[in-house]
Amino acid sequence: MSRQRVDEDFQGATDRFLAWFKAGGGVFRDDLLEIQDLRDKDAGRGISTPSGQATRKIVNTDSAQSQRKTYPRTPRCSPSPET
Amino acid sequence: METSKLPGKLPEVFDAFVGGEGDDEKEPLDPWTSLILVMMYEHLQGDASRWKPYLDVLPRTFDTPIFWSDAELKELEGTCLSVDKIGKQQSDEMLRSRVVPVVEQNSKIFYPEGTTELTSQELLDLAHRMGSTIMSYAFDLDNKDEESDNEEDGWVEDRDGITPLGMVPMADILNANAGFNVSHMPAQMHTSLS
Repeated sequence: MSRQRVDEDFQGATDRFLAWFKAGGGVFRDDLLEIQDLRDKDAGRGISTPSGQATRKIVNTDSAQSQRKTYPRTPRCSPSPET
Repeated sequence: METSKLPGKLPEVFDAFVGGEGDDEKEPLDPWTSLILVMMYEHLQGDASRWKPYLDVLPRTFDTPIFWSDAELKELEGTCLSVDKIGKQQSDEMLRSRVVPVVEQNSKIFYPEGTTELTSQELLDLAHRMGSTIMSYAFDLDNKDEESDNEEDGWVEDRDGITPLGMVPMADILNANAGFNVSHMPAQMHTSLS
């Protein structure tokens, strides 16, 4: 919780990486995903839903089964069955 | 490896069966060493590398024991993590004999014009950094489903039963969050540095 300062270069590098990834044909759904700064968890960058938005949306649109769908699965890739 | 220009510029280093120059053992580079060299090359190209925005989001430093100073390592004495297990000396030797000389003997290829060459120690440090990056970020590019000799897929043959290694931008970021995990992602030629 001690890290409150904004590291512009960290965010800048993320933005440049994302732009580069898209320019190279990569698909990244900004409406569902964002690259977050997880340094306070010793994890560098990680992909997650944008600050809980997607979670709320899904809960609202589907009442009965919403619990199981609260988290969108990792999009656009599926774990290999053999590993 | 297939998506970097380096192997094309140094076929004698990367090609599997150059055969018989006699000096040292001229065996083909393993996927590990190849990828370290490719990553060092792309790093040294700086802005000229098409992978720069990706390399910039990879870690620059690691605090794993292989980067600890002797004094720090001494504090481990008596624990089960022995200096031997960390294997620093062993990997130093490997990188000094198989990676650093390749860069030094081919400085015209590795260094763009106008850049200063790194010392052997700096090269060794860079090789360690890339090695650690690979250890924590790279994927096995497992092509066992592709039985046909399809040259288009960009993957090298599975030589000596060793799977080629590759860096897969974005997929590695998914792995950072323990909530999500990618164990395998189809790597396409234009999106993986391998």
